[in-house]
Amino acid sequence: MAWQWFHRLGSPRWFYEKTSRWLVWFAPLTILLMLLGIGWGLGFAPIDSKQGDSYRIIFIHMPAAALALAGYYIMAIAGAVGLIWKMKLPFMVMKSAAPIGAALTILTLATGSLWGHPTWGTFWEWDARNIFMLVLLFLYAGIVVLAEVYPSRDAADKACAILALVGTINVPIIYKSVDWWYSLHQPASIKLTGGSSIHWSMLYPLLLCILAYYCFYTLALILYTRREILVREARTTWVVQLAQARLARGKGRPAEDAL
Amino acid sequence: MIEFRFSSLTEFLQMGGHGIYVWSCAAIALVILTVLLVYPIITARSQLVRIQRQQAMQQERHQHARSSGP
Repeated sequence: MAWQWFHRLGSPRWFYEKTSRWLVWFAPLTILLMLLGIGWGLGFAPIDSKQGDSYRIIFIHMPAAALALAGYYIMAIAGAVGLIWKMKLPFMVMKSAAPIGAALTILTLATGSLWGHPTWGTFWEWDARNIFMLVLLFLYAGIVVLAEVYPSRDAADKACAILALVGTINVPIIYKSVDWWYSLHQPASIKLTGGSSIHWSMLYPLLLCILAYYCFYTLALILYTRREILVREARTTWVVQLAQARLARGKGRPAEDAL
Repeated sequence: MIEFRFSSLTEFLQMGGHGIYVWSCAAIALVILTVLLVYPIITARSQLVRIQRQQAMQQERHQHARSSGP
């Protein structure tokens, strides 16, 4: 059936069991890509003629910012799918995406600040992109809090999904902010159409870092969602059996299946 | 060409005076990204342990009810 995959996607059990098999190779791959990308950027990419070595922060900062923004879309889309089709799993994904997005936004702001000091001469500047990144952080934090404060899980899910969807307007504003308000932030160096204004010796490690961050985001989202599944499905037979199987396999040994 | 851009480890750490900024960023990234992976794993494990314990308590209660029944 054409729609079967869609319904399976909505099944927490299917997700949990599938990802158990994926994590075995996906987690090491992600960590390897991350080390390769950052290592290449910090040690092997050429020095920037204007900014010196401080520009190397881009390999940590820019992909984190990209994922903080892309992650917001993922969270909002998951919330919308949950609202429309009333499925369980998308709401769990939505709730899981919020703390990851918040952490990546904090990482973006912190590294941006450390980059700003040697480059702009200040740790913080109230330019448009910074302000809207701060708004993004508050949106993520708002959803993290909102998910916890409601006594009813259904009401919490709906409220979070609606806040996530309303906040989506912020994301294109951040993307476009450097073009709309010309300020200290440099315009985009990488463009999908037309030439990028960056040499391949810097572009390739940056693209590798972006790929690594995407993998990292996926990995973190899977781990958080699996945790959320165990919390919400704690009373289902398959989760109870899973917990008992883990106990039977021995207490002392760290269980790979809990990864 | 892809080659190591620094002639010594000290130079690599100093990064022409920008080392403090670059390496602080790397350290912050390491901490935040590690927490993002470790935290869900640890809490998922403790959740599984909690489920085991609840299950064991329920079974005990069942047995107790059966043995003390009429």
